[in-house]
Amino acid sequence: MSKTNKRPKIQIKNLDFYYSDFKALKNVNLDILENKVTAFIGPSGCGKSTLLRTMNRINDLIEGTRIEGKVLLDDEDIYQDNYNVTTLRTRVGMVFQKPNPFPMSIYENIAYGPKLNGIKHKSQLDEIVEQSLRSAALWGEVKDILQSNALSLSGGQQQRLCISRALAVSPEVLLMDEPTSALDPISTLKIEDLIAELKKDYTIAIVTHNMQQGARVSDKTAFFLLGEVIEFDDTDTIFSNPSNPKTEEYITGKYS
Amino acid sequence: MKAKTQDKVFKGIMLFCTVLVLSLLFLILGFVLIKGIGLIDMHFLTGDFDAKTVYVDLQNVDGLNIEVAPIEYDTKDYLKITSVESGSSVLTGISNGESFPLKKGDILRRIEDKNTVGMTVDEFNSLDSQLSGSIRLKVTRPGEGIFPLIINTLSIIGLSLLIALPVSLFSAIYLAEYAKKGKLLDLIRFTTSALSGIPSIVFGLFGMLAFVTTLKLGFSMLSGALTLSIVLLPTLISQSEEAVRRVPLTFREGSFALGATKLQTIFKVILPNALSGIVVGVLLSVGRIVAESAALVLTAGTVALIPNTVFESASTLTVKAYTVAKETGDIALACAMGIVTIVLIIVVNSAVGIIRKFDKMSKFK
Amino acid sequence: MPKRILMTAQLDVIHKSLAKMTALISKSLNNMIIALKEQDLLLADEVIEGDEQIDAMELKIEKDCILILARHQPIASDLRDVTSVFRVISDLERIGDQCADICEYIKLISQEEYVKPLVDIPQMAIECEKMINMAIRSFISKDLELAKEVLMMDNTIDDYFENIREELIEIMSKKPETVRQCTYLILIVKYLEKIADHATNISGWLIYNITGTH
Repeated sequence: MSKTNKRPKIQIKNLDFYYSDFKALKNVNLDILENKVTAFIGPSGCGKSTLLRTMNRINDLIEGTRIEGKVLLDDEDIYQDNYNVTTLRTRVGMVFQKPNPFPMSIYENIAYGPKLNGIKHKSQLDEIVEQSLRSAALWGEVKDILQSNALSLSGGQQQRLCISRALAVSPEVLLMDEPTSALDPISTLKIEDLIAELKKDYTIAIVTHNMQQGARVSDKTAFFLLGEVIEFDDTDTIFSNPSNPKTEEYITGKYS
Repeated sequence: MKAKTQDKVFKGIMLFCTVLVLSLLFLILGFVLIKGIGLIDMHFLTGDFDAKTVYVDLQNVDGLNIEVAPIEYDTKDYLKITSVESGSSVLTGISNGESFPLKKGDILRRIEDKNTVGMTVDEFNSLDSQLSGSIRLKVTRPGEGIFPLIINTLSIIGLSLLIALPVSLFSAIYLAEYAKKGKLLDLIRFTTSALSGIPSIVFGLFGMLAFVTTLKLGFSMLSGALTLSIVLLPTLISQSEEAVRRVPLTFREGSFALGATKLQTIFKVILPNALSGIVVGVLLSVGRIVAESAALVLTAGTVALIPNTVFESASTLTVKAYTVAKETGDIALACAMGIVTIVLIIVVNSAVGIIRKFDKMSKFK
Repeated sequence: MPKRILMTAQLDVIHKSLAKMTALISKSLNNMIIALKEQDLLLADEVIEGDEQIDAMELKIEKDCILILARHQPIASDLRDVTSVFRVISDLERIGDQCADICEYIKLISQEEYVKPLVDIPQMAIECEKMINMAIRSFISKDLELAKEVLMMDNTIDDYFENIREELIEIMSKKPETVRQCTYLILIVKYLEKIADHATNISGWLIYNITGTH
């Protein structure tokens, strides 16, 4: 509400994506607006995760992938030669489908990123850890057990820990790949509340299998089908009066 | 009805076989245990393997202040020290310029020029009361202890792992993380698994040729350790590679997504996560070394002393058990060593079990 | 526990719009009362025009309610909250319409002298306005006691209605030349009675909202 920023943080232009010979994304064009939540919905295998994963180039880890087109972060092409991927990934953080805290202490999990960036002073790390945990609404629950193994937390707490870990490197964009698909309903709603809080400071893109979740958390929604963006509009419009019959079919559960 | 009878017959056969196997196992264990257990005491675990006979010079003697008892040694009757008073002059004994304090269990062969064969305790006591000034004793410290063998075993374990572990870790990481899938990788895999099937006597022969003879390292702890590290490589590599591969993709992604480089990810996330798998590999290797005899007989030799350097021969427990049984026919002694070996193996195996169980628990949480 | 901050914020917006709509209706009612008493044509026209604003408000709240259903899938008490808002705004919209209708009648009799000084009718209108305000206040603050009070007040309005009606019938039977004006006045009173019924409905929705039963 407070910010009515319409500046695109990430722009995707004529993007094609290939896994070896398989074309997973076909001529995708869309803008991720600053301080907004953009949701990608669509059936399995429609390319929504693939698109999300192009935005921090984590797809580079998979052999045989190739892209055509452009992905601009603040008007700069992140796929240009000699682009610093490490810096990119600290600017565009990611939270994964299954909570994946490293099997080390809660503290070490969060300090992991800042330490890679060369922050060594204990007091500075302490501050980052506390700040990140507070931002992810986890500080109150773990402040007395920072040295315990992160794997001893519940699934929902682990996922919020992963969000804190991503926040610890002070990213500008947060990519969330089905962040609640492994969580119970209460933990899911907690994460959704968190997303609503986080969008004040971060630009968020979220992939979700649960289209109701897309409806609940996002400002903009993109509907994907077979690697194409079928419809991209305000979430209000998509969920009350979509213009494409295919979108209508999918969100009303009549998709076959 | 017929099916039921058939079922019963097969069940009977299976039961019989199981009982047969178990009884054989217990028979072997029982045999080793009964034969060897009598020999195991403190001296056995802490004493030298070879008996040692030396001349000991004592200064400022005013009586030896020791108690003795008759003992039969080498078919003759001698006197054995049964206790040493504190402050006794025998504690300051010097042999060949080195300090050699006498202790309980040492056998007195000669006091000055007097042979102790057949001497009674009373005769010793009256002789003792006349002793003063500088005197010279001939003393035998009996052997049949396995302390050096235990130390050698541990040293060879340490040395082999020191050589094999870094090599196999780096190869494992390369194979799991960097090598491109393809023919070359398949070939490397095939070679390692083939290597692990080769009997260790072949490695022993190779070690003898390569390290003992060609590199002129002689029968030495180093030759043994080098040979053993070759024996261990296939297992260690495949275990470590497996452990590295088993680290879930999500951890790698999590690390990369935070801006880590591949090297940082390997050292900070993958290796710590693969650690339990690697430790299991190491423990299996330890078991293999403890059990190994063929490759070591041919490379590390059979000297049952703690060597001063790695270039000297050093026999492990198993190797000595083999030579003792074969050369002196002392089955009881070999069995006693066998018991110690079995205990070591059991300890190592249970450690493997515990780590695997713990690892499973933490992964499936 | 999760707070569902986005949905709660959205519900808040709806409740605020509801209060705003009520304020518009209150203003219309007040103007209508003055227009009636002082036979003020301009004020009556203002009320009639103001109805459009109220209708627009209804549409906005309705859209917000549909969006909250589509996006946040409220259930149980939240669902009852949203569905009763649907009913409440249609009651409010009717009240607005009736206000405008009353003003049409006021305009028709604005040029004549009243058959008698109007005392009870404005009084009744003031009671109605009070009821609506109380009803919406009880609805927004979920005050069950206040809602029950509103239900009780409906009896007073009914009494007003009957008394005024009988009085007007009597005047008509005595002075046939007043029939036209008195008929319009009876219609106005009937509308006021209907307005009070809508207020009663609103309190009824609150009771459903809280208890889940009618």
